[in-house]
Amino acid sequence: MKDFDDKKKLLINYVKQLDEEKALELANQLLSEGIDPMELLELMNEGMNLVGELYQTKDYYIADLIMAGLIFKQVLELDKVNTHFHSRFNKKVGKVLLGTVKGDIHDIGKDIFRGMLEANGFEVIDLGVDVSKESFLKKADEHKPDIVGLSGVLTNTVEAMKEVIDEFINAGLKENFKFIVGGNHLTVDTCRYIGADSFANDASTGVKLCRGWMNSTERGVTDND
Amino acid sequence: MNYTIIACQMLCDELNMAMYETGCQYPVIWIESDYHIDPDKLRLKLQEEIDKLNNVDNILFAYGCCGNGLIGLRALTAKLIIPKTDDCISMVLSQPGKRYERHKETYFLTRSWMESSKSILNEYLHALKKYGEKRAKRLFELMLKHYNYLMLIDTGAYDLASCSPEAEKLANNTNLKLIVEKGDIWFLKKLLTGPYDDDFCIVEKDTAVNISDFGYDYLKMPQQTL
Repeated sequence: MKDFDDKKKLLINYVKQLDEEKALELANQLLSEGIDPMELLELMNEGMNLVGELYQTKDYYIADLIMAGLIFKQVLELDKVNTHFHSRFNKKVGKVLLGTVKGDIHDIGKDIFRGMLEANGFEVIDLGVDVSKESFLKKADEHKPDIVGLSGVLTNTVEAMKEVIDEFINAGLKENFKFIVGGNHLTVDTCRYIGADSFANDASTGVKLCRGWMNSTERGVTDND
Repeated sequence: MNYTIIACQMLCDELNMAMYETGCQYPVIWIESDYHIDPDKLRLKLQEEIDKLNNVDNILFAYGCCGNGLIGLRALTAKLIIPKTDDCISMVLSQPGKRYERHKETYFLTRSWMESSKSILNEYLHALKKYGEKRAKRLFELMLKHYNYLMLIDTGAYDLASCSPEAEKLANNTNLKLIVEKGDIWFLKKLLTGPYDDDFCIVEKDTAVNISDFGYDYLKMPQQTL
């Protein structure tokens, strides 16, 4: 048991150190020794959070964040994890339409958010980057998501995000969806200005918000059944 | 009237040249450029520097809105004067009286950008050292998958030739097309000399910088507290 616990700690450490080969090897080993895939992803998340902290303290670079994302993605794609989540979340907990708004092509945060949403049982429709307000509206109408996620890094994306939500208001569809905006530059005030339901400065906060919405009594899983 | 400038190290060459050309000799407090990565930390750092100042009537900022990092700043006894622009890229690429349209699919560079600790050049060198050439290439393909151009902005404030070889090497290693575009320091010169017209956010003493001050047609919103 102690050996198993040690291995879990070691996995967190390999992710923190961004050791792709060792992290994947150990993740596979833990799965063959019977770890619950959800617990495995929690360990991965813990490692990812440490990577995020090291980026904040300037010890890590953007390339390191991308490497962490790559390791995370490869663990998600491991057979046992993939099969587990496909059966466990056969009925998805919710659907999120996601994209980086017009005028911006940053997608590192969006992609990490997408991966974490999928790991948490959400179906994600990713529209990519530089997405127009018209596309968001059209795709929302087509896919009927529970949540629309708008991502951006540049200062002026606040306006682009507001324009997307205004487009939904003008079409009379705003109340059909929850809106989350994501980016390092967003604050309570900018979120209010944009007209979104909430905002997140990092992916894990965003996922918690989405899960909270789906679990809430006023907007449960049954909404889109 | 006493003036002090608080400036981002990213604009070091450009501000020094603007000071030289205008003969301005206000004291400058330089702030490390890495703060732009985290607007919350930038806001705290700038407020800390503001709070240290005494006997200053006007604080000039060589900053833009910078990821909303300047929203919420407040000086009890001085007026804050901030260029009404998104960031240092729009500041040096915009032209007076014209709306700035950001170039698409472009990663921007100046000499100060290249020299900053978290520049794309240092990112590349770090990745190369840590992950080896093959993995570094894979990481950069992901990082720059939506970019096609590497733009070296010729602000006229530094020797372009001293940066060109590094920029070319970087462009080759990342499969981007290197382009050079003429920039300008008119905004910084105007920050030093005035007039403080609609190009600037003028924030009176004991008033917090509001998002609407930057004139993105933002509605007046409640003040953010630090």
